[in-house]
Amino acid sequence: MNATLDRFFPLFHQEPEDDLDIKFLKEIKDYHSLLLKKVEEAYHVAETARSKGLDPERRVEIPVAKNMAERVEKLIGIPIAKRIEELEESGLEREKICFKIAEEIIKGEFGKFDVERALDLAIRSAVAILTEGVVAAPIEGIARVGVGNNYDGSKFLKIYYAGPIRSAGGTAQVISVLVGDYVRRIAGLNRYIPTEEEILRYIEEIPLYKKVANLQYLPSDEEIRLIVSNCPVCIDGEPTEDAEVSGHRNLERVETNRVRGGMALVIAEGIALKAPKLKKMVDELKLTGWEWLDKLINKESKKEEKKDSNEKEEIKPKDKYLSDIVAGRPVFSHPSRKGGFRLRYGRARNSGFATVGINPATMKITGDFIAIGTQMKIERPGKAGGVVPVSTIDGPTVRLKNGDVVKINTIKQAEMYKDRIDAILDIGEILINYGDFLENNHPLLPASYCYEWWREEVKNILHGDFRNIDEDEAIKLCDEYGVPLHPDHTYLWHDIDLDELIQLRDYVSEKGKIEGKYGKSCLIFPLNRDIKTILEKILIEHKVRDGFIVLEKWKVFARCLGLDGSLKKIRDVDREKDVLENIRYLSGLDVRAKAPARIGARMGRPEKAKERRMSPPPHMLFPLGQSGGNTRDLKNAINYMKSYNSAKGEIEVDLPVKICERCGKETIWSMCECGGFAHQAYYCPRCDRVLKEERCPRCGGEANGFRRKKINVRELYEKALENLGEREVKSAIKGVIGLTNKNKVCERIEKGILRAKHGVFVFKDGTIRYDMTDLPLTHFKPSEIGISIEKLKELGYSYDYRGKPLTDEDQIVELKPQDIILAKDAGEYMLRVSQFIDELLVKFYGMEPFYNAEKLEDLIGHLVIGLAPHTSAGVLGRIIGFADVLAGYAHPYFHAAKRRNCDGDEDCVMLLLDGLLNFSHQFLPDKRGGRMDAPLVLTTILDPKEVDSEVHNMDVVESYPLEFYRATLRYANPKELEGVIERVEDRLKSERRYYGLRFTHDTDNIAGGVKVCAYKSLKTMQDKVNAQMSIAEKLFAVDEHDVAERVITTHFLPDLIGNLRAFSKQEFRCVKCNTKYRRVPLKGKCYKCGGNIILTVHESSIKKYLELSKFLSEKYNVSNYTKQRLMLIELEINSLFENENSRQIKISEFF
Amino acid sequence: MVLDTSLGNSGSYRSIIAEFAERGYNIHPEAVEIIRKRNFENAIDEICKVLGNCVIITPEDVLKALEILNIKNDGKVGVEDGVKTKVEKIVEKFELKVRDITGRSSCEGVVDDFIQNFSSRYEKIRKIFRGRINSIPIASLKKVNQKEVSIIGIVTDVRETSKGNYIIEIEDKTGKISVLATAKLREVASELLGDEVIAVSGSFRNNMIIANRIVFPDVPQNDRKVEKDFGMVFISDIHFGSNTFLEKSWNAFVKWLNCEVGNEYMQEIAEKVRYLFIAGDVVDGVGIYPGQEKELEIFDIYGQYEEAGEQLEKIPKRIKIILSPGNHDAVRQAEPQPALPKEFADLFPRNVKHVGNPAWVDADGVKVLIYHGRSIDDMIMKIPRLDYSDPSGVIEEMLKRRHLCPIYGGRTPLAPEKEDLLVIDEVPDIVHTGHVHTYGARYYRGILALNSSTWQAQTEFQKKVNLNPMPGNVPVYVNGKLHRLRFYRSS
Repeated sequence: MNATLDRFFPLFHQEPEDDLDIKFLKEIKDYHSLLLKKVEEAYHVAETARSKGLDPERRVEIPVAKNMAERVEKLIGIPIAKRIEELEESGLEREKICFKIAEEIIKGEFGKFDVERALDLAIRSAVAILTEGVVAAPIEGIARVGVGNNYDGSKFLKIYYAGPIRSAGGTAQVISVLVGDYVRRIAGLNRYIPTEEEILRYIEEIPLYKKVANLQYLPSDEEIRLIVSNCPVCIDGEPTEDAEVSGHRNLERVETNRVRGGMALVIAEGIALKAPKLKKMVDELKLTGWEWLDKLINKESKKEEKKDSNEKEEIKPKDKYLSDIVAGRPVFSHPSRKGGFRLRYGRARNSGFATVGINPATMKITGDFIAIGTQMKIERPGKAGGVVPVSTIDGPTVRLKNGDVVKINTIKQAEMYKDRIDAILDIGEILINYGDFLENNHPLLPASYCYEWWREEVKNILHGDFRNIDEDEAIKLCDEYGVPLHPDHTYLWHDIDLDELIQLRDYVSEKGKIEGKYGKSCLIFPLNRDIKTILEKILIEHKVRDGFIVLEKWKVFARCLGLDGSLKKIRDVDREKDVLENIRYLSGLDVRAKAPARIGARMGRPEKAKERRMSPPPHMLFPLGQSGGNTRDLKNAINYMKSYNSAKGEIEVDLPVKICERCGKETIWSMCECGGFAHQAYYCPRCDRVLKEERCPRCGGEANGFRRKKINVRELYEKALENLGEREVKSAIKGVIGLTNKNKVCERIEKGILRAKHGVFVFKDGTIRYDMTDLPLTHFKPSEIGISIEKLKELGYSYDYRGKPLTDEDQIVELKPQDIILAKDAGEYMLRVSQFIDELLVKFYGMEPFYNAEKLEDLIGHLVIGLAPHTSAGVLGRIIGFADVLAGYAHPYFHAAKRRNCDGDEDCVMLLLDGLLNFSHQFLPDKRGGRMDAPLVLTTILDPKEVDSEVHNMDVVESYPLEFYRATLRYANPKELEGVIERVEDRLKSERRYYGLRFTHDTDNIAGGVKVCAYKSLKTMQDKVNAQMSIAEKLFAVDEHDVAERVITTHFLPDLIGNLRAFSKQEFRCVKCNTKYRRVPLKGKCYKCGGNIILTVHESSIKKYLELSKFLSEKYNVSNYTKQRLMLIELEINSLFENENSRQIKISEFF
Repeated sequence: MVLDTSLGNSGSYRSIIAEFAERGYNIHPEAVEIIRKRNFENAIDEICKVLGNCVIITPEDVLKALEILNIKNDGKVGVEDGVKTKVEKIVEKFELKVRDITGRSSCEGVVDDFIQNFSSRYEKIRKIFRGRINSIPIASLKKVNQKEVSIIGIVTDVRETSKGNYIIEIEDKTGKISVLATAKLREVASELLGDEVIAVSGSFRNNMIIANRIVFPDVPQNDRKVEKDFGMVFISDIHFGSNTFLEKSWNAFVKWLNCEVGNEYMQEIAEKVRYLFIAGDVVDGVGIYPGQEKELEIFDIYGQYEEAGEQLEKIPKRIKIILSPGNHDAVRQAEPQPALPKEFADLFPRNVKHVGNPAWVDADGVKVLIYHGRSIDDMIMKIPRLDYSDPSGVIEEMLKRRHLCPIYGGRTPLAPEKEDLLVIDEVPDIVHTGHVHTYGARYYRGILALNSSTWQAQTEFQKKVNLNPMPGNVPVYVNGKLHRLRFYRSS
């Protein structure tokens, strides 16, 4: 324990790294100020442009928030940032701040509100604080807060949850309930007293939600009863699903019979799942009335005790990841099966944070189904991970068609062998970091014996690099220094049994011969099927030549079998010992287990890098009604004539009502033709009047901010072209049918013209986005991201990660937290976006161009906004390079700031200036969830302290200590090693959180591997399934019969049944105007336009998987039950689609 | 006119008393002791049969009865020389006429099928209105100059306005129109299901009809009093193959049909039984709902029907069995369903007549409309006053609308046949449904509306949705009287 003393006496030992620290610290400070400077530049440009009044608002609508407090304030809209900062500085915990702020809101310290409003704000603020002001849950997940009446006359608090509460996560959901309880006491409300009927309603409704949507955890009926009857706040919700409860309907105090998703989430994934955490908070706050939580927790702990008592059970194979298998997405390994992924611990410079590292050769060998960024569903420790290429771990071992068994470690070899493979005996290693085990609270599994472990064991004895040593040296090291056998020469002895060992040993000793020439020797013996199988099990490379098995590397093998140089037996096998012990005994070598733990995996969803397109994708947010035709093309609209004698291009659409402040005319734009600014006005459809206020003074009804107007798009288009000085655009200029925002606010046609010209598409909020799968990166080589040393230095990078000055493009450099590497395709799209923005600035706003980018490299150094779905806070990023992958590499901190990990999810980037210029709140749809996935605020400098805490568990060390590897052998809880392996969390309080992270494994190239998953490149489902099955047949770790059965029962059958049911209840639509009909019109024609009516569910879409399913069920001999289900479905399909009256009559029937 | 009779299993002292009480006997405590000690519980039916008309059963009576019955000490009834019931009579010729979809399904799954199906529905029901309503086509509303107009149309949509009135959208083959229902008509409008054909009278103003009358096609009073001296038994939802199938209750039922249990009166009824109607869900099926394999006893669909065949084999051949499928059976789920395909039908005894769902069966002059009843779910959902505890109320609504499944697009899948066979175009004597596992019986305008229960205990799913089945309740119709027999007692 001497080592720990160093920590207490840093003065004695001036670490050379301190100097480095100062260098890096300065670099990061410069980096931050550089970012801020560039943000300011962009804001300045945008402010100037928007002040011209050509957009819905005359100011930039994405405010900057420097920290969590400001984000919360901007989300909620009351001045609480300062107070939150004060409380944070006083050292109060995040959870307590929630309660404090909530209390102060009720007490009116941030303004006077009526009770319901105050309760509402208090609860929302608490959720916002707990979710760092990033996710949309506080504004979208809580529909409203109300006060209900108990039957004893008292009043209680109701919280109406909505679907987006999901994004808040369990803890924040629970906090909202707890804060609700806390504030209702202050406001003097009683607790909620449910009736028996109401309790039963919850018991029926929550499982129903699980059925129609999804729940991670379904509480038992007793648990639901316990929660509902005791929870002091009424957990209510908006209806989110179409499904209705059938039992407990029309209850007086439950406003809907439909399923309330938000409610189900809060009870099931919130209270039931987070009861221990809730209990802890309740205790700390000394809240009464929550004693029942003990019962909920006890139930859980009982279950856990059970688990603890038979620890081994926990480590049993888990097949959950196979349960929602999809056709065409292969299984790579059945749970914990031999031949499956061998677990190797570590974090590569491009892994960690819910990713799995795979050797690029494995990607190729598995039929290209694993690409960089492809999501893999895994058996453990978590549920899924994004795939990253790590070339320094083992690839697969395969048997070729000629019988040779070879290890494949590079993509080049894989390419060479891929058509000659007969079977994949072992799929290779999978790299998972310690932090992911900790994050998932999963017991550590025994580590494979690998080079890192071996290195740790011998580091005090041997010095130098022993990465690629030959057999002779490996044996020599063992014999001379008594170190364990090198992992490269360790075979999978534990995968055979004692009889097999004896059989192999006897055979080799009797029949084996050593042959050699030119100083090279090999072991040969006659080909024998059983013996070959054993060799394949222990995964030793060999060849088959002229009826003989040839082992080129045989010395360690013979030694392990206890045979001497002439293959004579030295000792006898000890039947009391297991195989591995016998190997050690026979060889006198310390031989370790090479693959004690295997990880099952299947393909999840494919990787993605694609521009965001709505369907159909518009170039502008401008309504064309039906005049644009099916393509919504402005070019069609300008020739549209409603009737024979109406003007060309005249259309009637809903548009905003605005009144010019100068000339008093009505217009649709914020700036009138006369140059004056216009303000929003309202229109009462009943009284046909334009008003100033939202409520009609005459009829008292609500007025709209829009009305149906006749406009001439031909004139508007020609005017726009003239404004821009553009000539006709060749391509289509697509608009929308109508707008979904409250006042039907639309964009100027000029923007659409320019977007169409550059081939970019607009999203519903006015921005142009590019979606990419998230992948992590902490260190890069300039050469792999296409950036020169000079450029890199300009951007503030002066050293490699070890502090050496940058000179070589292959040096490894630590990535700065907000720098991102775009997919190459993303770069090309963004280049077009930048050109669109530049033209917009020059031709529309009359300003100077900003980007001046002509080629990809010109985008380097420019800023973007990263934004994840379900969130509403963008994160500032900077482009520093491009990688030829279909994913976006960025610092784990950056992803965490967007509240994402890298388990296969995707999110988007947009150019900063695009967001600032074109985004407007007024474009956002006026419906639940409309404000999600919109950049409502922008985080400029990200602080790892304020990002999703999952990333705090990522380890940042160069090597794992011996203690760790030993702990894995006893299935230790990863918590035991907290503090032993440094994680981000250990650095949060120091500036070192920004730099000096380390990794355990290097990789050749972050883009080296399969680029496009075969799932995407194969076109038909038939091809995909064939490929999936052919891989299943080749992989030793996969049972193809089980795959076929699962594909049929979990994908094809539900699809067949679903479509079949849908057919008999289908809606109809008009082929011409697309009007939907619940039932076919009796007239047989569209009532609106007289067009023909067509089906929405066709025979072909029902039948599409029938033949394939039948083929699979026959070829892979699935269970009788499944076969019969298929048979019945076919019977049903035939009965529905074959007319029994008009069967074809055979000629023979006439005779 | 409902006779309540219970059969089933016995057990303790109290239950033996109860068993006798239910058969109309009082029993002396010592007599109970004898039965209990010597394990004669299974022979209670036989004992009652022997005893005839005495009111109080004494220990002597019991001993005598046991002697007559030649009951061994193991409690088994001696077969050879015991009081074995009169053996089956020779089967007479049945007069059975059936009308259903079997063998003449015309749908091909094109949009025209749907159009023809709904037009068939419209035309058939329009005919029913003939003579009562003098209607005009919707398209000509604007042309006629009448104060009061009448139209016949299919309901497309019903909306409640902010003032509590209803706007009903109605279509015929010429066009569509909105109808405003106010005042008293609100109630009628609120119970419109959608897709039923109705007649509306009212004044036409502003392209809208202000209704003063909403008329359902309805059935006329059926004064045809059906009094046949043979018995008709109605069951459904047996669910052979399910692990919640109530074997004991079923066996008791079969025994009763064989005149092996029940008092004299009950035996008399049993003897008269000539027809047994089964309204669907004979077996539990495979793949009917996700995870069904966990609740099956027999996993093989052929195995399930083999079991069904063997069980029905035990029913006396003098009884004609009319078997119609349900949503658990091995035919298409979309209604109308044809009869079971040959490969399954062949597994049943010869006295089983396979019909479709729905099916019109004329049994010796009694017109029975048999329908599995899937639409009951949809209708209960839409009309709050209807309830699973009395499904015959739903049948009443079907009769009113002259359609077995008015709602399109609900839970009941529809096969778009050219003719809509779900229209109640004739006036039946008896309507028999099942599906919801509860019992219900009522007369509506002289028509007997029956919902037979089930032979399956409450399933996990039913528990969740608060559905309480009433297994083993069997309606029996004989001589113009309805009896309700119970073969299940909850423990």
